[in-house]
Amino acid sequence: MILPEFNYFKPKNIEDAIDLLSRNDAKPLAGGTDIVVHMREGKSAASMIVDLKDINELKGIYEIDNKTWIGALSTMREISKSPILKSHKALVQGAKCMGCHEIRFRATIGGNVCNASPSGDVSVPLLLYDTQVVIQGQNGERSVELESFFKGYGKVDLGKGEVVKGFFLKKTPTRSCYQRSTRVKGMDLASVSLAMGIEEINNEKKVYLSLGAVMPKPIRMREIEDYLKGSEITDEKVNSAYILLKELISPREGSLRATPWYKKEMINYFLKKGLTNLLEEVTK
Amino acid sequence: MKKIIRLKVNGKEITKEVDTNITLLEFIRDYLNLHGTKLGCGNGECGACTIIMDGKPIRSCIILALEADGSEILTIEGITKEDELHPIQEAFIEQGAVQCGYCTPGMIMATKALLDANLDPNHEDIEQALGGHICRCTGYKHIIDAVKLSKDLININKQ
Amino acid sequence: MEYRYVGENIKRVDAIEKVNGNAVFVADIKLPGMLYAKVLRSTKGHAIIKDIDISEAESFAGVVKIITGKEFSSLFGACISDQTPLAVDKVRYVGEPVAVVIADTEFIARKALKKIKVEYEDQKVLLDPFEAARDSKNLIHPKSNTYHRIDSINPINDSNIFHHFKINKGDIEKAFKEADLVIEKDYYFPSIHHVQLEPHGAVAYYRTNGTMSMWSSTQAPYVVRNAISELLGIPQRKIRVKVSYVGGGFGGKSDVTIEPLAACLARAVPNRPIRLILTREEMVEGTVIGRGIYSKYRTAINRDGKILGEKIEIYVRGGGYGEYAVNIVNGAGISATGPYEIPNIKVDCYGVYTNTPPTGACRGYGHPEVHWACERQRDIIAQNLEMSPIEFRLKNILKPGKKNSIGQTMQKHNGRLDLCVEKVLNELNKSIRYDNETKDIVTSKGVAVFMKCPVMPTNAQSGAILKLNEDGGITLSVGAIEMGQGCNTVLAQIAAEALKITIDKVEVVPEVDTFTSPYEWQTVASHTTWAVGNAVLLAAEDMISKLMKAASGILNEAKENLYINNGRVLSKTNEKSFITFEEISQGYKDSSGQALNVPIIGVGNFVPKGLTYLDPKTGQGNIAADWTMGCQGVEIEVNSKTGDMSILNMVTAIDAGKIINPQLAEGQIFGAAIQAMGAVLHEELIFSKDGVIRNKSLTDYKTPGIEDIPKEHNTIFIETPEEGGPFGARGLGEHGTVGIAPAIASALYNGLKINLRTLPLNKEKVLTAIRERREMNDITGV
Repeated sequence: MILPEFNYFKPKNIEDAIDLLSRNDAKPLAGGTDIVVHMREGKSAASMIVDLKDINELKGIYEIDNKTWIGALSTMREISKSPILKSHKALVQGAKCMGCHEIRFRATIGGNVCNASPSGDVSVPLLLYDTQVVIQGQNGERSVELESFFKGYGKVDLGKGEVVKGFFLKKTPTRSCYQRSTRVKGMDLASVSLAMGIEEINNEKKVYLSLGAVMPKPIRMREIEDYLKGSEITDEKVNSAYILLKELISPREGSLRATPWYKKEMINYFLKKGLTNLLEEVTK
Repeated sequence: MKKIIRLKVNGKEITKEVDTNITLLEFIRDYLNLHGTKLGCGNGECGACTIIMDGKPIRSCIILALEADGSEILTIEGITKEDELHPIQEAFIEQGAVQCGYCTPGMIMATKALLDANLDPNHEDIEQALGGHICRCTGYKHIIDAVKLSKDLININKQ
Repeated sequence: MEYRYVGENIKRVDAIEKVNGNAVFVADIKLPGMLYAKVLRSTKGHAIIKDIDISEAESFAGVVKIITGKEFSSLFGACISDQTPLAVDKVRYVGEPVAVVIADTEFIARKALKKIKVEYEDQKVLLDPFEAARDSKNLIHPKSNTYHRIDSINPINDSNIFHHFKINKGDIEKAFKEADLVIEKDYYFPSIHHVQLEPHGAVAYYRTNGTMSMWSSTQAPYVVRNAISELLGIPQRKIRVKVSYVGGGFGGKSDVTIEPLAACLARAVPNRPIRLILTREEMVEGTVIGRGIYSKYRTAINRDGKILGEKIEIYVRGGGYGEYAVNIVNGAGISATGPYEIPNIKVDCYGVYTNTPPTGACRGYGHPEVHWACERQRDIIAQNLEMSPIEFRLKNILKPGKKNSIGQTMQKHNGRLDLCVEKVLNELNKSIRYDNETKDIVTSKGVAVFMKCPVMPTNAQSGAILKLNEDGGITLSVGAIEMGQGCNTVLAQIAAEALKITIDKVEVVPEVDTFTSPYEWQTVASHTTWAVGNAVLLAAEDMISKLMKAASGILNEAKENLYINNGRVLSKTNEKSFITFEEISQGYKDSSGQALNVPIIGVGNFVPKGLTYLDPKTGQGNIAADWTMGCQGVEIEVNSKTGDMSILNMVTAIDAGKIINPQLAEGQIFGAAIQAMGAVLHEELIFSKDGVIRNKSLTDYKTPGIEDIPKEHNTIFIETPEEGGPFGARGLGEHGTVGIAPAIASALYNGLKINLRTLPLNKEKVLTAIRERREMNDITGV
């Protein structure tokens, strides 16, 4: 046995899960692709594991009042295959490249987001869509913007006994994409990543932008979005947007995956490539 | 702490009391003594422990045995009758896709899951299905050849 | 010559077991009463052990015994006795064993491990071999002057240098005086890991009758046996090392790694089998690592492009213990100038103690490291001469009749390097130019050549036993380990060919057991096909002669008039007169019932002939048993905005003598080349300044995946028969690793005019070089 000892429960409804998770030292288990690894490495310990997989309320991807709902237990595989998410290209691309084939059958969006990895392959694109996190706890339900849900490296705004039910994606830019840099072409964590969306309303272009692995948490770049907004996005404008952007991010030194210099270079590259590609698509 | 799990492994119903903190891989190797499924990293990074669970390829080293309660599991020992070779196994031998053999069961299970779902995978589908499966011996070329031959052999068998 | 099995793609003899999950690896061995061991490893790179407190851990229920270094403190080592199974008074690298818990379950052992308290006093951590070689104040082994070592080891007293290998050939100063051009550059090949997919392990079992049994995933059961004998004073005949299949070795499971420790555990808890299986992370810091070589090349060239002389300094990061790297120092030293005829050579190759895990064998054994340097140096010289790098190489290449760096005269049977180059160029030119070249994407090609010898002792023995069974079939037993390279299949082919029987009649014993298997030095140095193959041939000859003798008596025919074919001994004079192997095997009886023959066992023993030590001052002598030449080429695609590189096409042409099994041989080259590609593109062990390996899990030590391999990958065999090889064969297991790095770097220069000299050539390094070149207004980095 390689894992520390713990008790295991698999509640059938969210209320029971909340009750169990309110107890000391209990941890939720969704896909398990991270928590089992963390426990093995001694980075995480719990006296109780609460397996959420039997809770139907946490499942499903559907539309409610023009907003898209993604249940927390939706797997990467389900997200990348969902007809409802077809227009959420950045999210689908993120889900498709996360981990590897087998992992994508297990890893869930709720798990990936709650891990709050700065380079989370679904966290970063999810930020584009003005996503709201729906959380249930002992005092009922609350919603929080994904941007403020991320608190810092590995930290989220989730209290004792609270469970993420799912995500409301409030906005859907017509076009979006997710780009990342990795050390190998296959299974790898993102060294740095960028998600981008564009929509055009009355000849006005609105850009959506979020970045991964450049700050302690995945980050939405609203200042840059505002700067780029307008009727035309010229090369000059993009260049100065990047100069502005560069000052707003501070990738940490000593990352095993890339230096701050390279991360910034890649952000510059992804920004330009993303804009070029998406603008082309828009005009088509 | 112990709990009871019930599942089907290679077609056989199994009920066993297990420690809560064991992985599915440990259950398969240490409780069921099915040694064909291998531990390469324990982090889900190498693919040697791949099995098929409810039709999906799964890395058994990063899921708990308890998570497999109620499921149907297929390991390398169960993909064919004792004395026969599955077309995928034949193809791996034919193409020289086996060297040290440590990644082989995982590769074969991943190939089986791929071909069960899609009997005409293109190169990209193969790359995706076997991505994250480390083979340090072959340089992968013969493995890709083997997957392509597997699909042909299965199709021939079906006709 | 027509062969039945040599040169054929015979399917692997171990394939069925490996595809159906039946193949047994060490972690599959479970014995009644087995105990589990977990190792407490040093968290310090270099420190004095002040105190180890095991009291709390010892009181844990289920803990059987806790062992620390004090209990087994005698030094051992085949070349230098500089190590103990556990650290005794000092730790020399992060990951070094400090204590071991033996417990009823692995779970208890892990838990108890956390309760052991170790107090350290920090010493200065030395990671860089160049610096460590110059630091005489901080000695990693302060008592190294007193260590027992074999004569050929040449340490520098009161320094961190445990071995200094030298070549002094010709007059190097004169060469530089006469030179028209002098090029001086330095190169670095970082430390990497083998990442054999099977984690290393051993199950050891000491019985109070004085026998030690061990199952291990080792490439070297006989080396393990000797080490255990030296360490514990158990005679070799009472030590039984058993090896089933090994899940990848690549040198990382050669010599000894965890086995002496496992033996000590068993000695401490007699009559219980003890299992020690490493985790993936422990594989990295708890066995050996590879490469880690810094070198400086200074070359004298005349204006015609002839190399006049070369002066080379090489520093090998030996790690905390030098035993495993001493022969890499020699291997790197003798191959440092590559496949070139150079009249004046000075090589100084230093093995240096550093606070890193020991550096051990790693597919290529010094050759990829020095070829990285030597072949890059050739490119840079050619650039300065404004000569094509191919032309420059061919001008200086070693040809039959020319002398190599250690003074051996190259022979025709050493192979055709010129032909290898030609084949690679043809293949590269054949490839479709990938037309996705845009303003950001650059495609280009590069080539490098190599020459490799097996680095081994002068007395590397190999044995083979062939037993005739009552069914007329043969059991072949050797001491070589099947670790994926396919030796059991190749040796079966050699046996079937020599005995003129069908291959299905040959059964290779899949497990090596030092109690019963014939001796084998170890399964390394790409020497199994050649050396063990020779032993199998000799065993077949012996068996044939015994069969003839038996048949001669039975058939009443002179031995000279007999021949064998298809499992029969036949008369040349009377086609109806023959006897089958089957009849002979059962003890042929004449009509009166008298037995006419004894059981037939063929024995073959081989040792390379005529190998000598090198002269310690000049480095001249006959140490290399054979040489194999080859050429590797690549076509790459680089995004000049991101530094992202893909290998589009990769080709190896190698003259490895007669190829016994082309499919297996191709598999060896493909695998080696892709392993090498990983070390070029991204693999590197990253040390913190305190000596902690920061990327020991596969999450951050990335090896190539199926998506990374070239679109096209080809291998071409030139088959100049090797004079001393079975059916003209030589080894080729490691060779595919040797030229890949310089070929890729050459392509980078050809496409982007950047000259990189430090591996890996990851995206970031490539992009930096592209930017620097642009900033320098297109001046090359030469």
